[in-house]
Amino acid sequence: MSQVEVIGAQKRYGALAALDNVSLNFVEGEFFGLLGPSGSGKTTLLRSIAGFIELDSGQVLLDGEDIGPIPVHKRDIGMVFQNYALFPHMTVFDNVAFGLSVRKMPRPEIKQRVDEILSLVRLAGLQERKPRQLSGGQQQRVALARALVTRPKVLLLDEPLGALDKHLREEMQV
Amino acid sequence: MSPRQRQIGAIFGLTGPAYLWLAVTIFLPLSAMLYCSVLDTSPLVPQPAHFTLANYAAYFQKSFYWPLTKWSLQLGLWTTLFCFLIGYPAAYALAKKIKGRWREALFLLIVLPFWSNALVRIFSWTMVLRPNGLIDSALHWIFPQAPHLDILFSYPAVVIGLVHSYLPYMILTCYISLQAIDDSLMEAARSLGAAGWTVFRRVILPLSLPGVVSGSVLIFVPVIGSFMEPRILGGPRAVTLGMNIEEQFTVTSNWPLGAALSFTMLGIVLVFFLALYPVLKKRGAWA
Amino acid sequence: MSRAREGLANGAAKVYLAIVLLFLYVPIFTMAAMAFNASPLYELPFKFDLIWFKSLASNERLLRAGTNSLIIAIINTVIATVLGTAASLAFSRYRFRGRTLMQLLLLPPITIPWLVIGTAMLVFFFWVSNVPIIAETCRALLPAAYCAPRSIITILLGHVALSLPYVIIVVSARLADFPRSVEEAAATLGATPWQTFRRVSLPIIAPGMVAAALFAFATSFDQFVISYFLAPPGVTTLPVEIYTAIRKAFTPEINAISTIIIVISMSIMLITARFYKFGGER
Repeated sequence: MSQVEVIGAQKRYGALAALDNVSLNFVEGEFFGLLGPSGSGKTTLLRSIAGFIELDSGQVLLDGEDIGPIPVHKRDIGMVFQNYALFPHMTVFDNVAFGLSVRKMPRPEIKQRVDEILSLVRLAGLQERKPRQLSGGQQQRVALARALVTRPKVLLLDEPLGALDKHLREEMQV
Repeated sequence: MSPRQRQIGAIFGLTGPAYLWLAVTIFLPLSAMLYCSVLDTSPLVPQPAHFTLANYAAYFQKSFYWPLTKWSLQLGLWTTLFCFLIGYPAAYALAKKIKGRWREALFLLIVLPFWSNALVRIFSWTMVLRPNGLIDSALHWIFPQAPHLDILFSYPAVVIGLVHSYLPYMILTCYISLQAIDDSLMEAARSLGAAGWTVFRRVILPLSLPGVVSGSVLIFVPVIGSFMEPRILGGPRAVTLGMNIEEQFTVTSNWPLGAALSFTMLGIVLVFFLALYPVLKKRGAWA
Repeated sequence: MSRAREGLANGAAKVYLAIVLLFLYVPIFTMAAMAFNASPLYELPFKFDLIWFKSLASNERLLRAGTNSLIIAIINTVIATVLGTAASLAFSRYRFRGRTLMQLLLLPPITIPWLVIGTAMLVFFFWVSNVPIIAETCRALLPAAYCAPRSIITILLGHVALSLPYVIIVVSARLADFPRSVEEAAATLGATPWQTFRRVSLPIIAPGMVAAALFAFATSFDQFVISYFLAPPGVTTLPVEIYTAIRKAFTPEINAISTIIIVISMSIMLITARFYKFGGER
């Protein structure tokens, strides 16, 4: 994991300031949770770090380097989306393997890593299922596995537990 | 390259070819025809040409152009109206009353006529409508003393043929609009005390209006320019503005006049759209 | 609404649909029936005969026109689907100022009568083909027949222009349902925009593209007005050929070929419907 710094981030939508001179320092290896009421700019900040939003002013530094000009697919991040965003036409295996196959990893190595992480999230045996055949909790674990298997420098989780019921939430928090 | 620049590049790259194509096939030709419409001699003739507005003036001066226009407009309006009257209930029935496999099958059946040749369909109507044709024979089979049916080569025959050709468009667009209306909306209206007709008038009809409007556009525009159907079904007495324009380009080779008349027709269509603009704007009929 | 009334309403709806379908298919059945009827003047009573199908096989003009229509329609479908899908992607994916205006600019082929478009194209291509530079370049690249103002090339140009709006409408509708987060996820996983498109977006919008392609094909294959103005003497498309035949001396072979066409299209539609869902079902 790496160090992420946000310096003086500013983002306006018309008259509304989603981010108003926000500066944060995420120390390496730290697990950081952004809490706040809806509309407080959490998702905006997350998406700025991911690269989907261009800031009006301010910088995002990864390990001291300004990643503003770097496109999303070249930033080494992992992201779990609020609606999981699983590829509906791919199996669980292909979903998780996607990031690795895009990096042109050899097939045997891909298989090993995917099997490994699916066991970790307790989804071994469901490799050939399609997303629509999974429960909400299972889909969430696939999304997590997919983001983690590429061993990204930064892991972003956008409202990761919002869609689950209370019991599942407590289980995932563990 | 900044993300913004990359984005602009992507937009140009993706939309460029389509616009280029349309520029060459629609926009430039329209400009060319506009230029042609203000010439006094046809481009086919080697004489040099001069600027003139006589071709446009002819439209207002010659007395037969207005009846032609009226005919074409009436044709467009009647056809659109009947397509709506027949097609909207059909679309509603299909969207709301039929479920499952049947819906898919019926939808396909409605769309299938698109795949038959339009001209053959029109010609088939002559076989159906003419004396001793299908309807006439059936009529005489039941009532042997009845007079012969004489619908063919008349205004109603043209309308029937056109309605038949363009009906699927209206059904299609209305269906797409209607089936997007969630059942829960109607249930909510009922729970608030609205009876059937009120639910339709205040919930369903407004929400399906974009479908009606798109269908109307898809029907009205081609119909007012049509010359093939009136010629085949309307017989020698039928004349529409479209037919007149077509003659300028094929028979008399008076391209400037044809061009001017074409643009006049385009102007009429634009007036039609301007009248519809408030509805289009409000409902965002575009996708 | 009570059960009984609801049942009645459903029944009425079905009956009405049946009547509408009957109306839609009367000419088609008539056409098919006459294709098998021995009488050359469509006289009843009906007498079954395959004579028109046999003579169709030797009617070179019709067959050639049919082939031309087919080739043009296929090329038209490929070009229109690619161009239209690309434009739809741009509109759905990016928000930018003037997007609505640009979308509106792609509508003219639908909002302008085909008559106006056809005549405008005729005038324009006539002038363009007489410009020496263009004429020479064209003749150097293609056979002379393709460089005239009326040619297969110009017909194709017109057909694609007419098909584009339909492709864009259909694909855009499909894209509207498409969750953008899936593409974003692919980007976070390291896929370049092209990889994202090829491996994620394309498979998902494929059904929409198929529907759009079918639309484009039907639009071109059945297009009469544009083809009429731009068809060179001797080279026609099927609709133009049929029109000429109707004006002069209609032969029932036309019914035969039309029947064949609609049977083929019905089969294609049935096959495609088995694999893809039309009609907006979820």
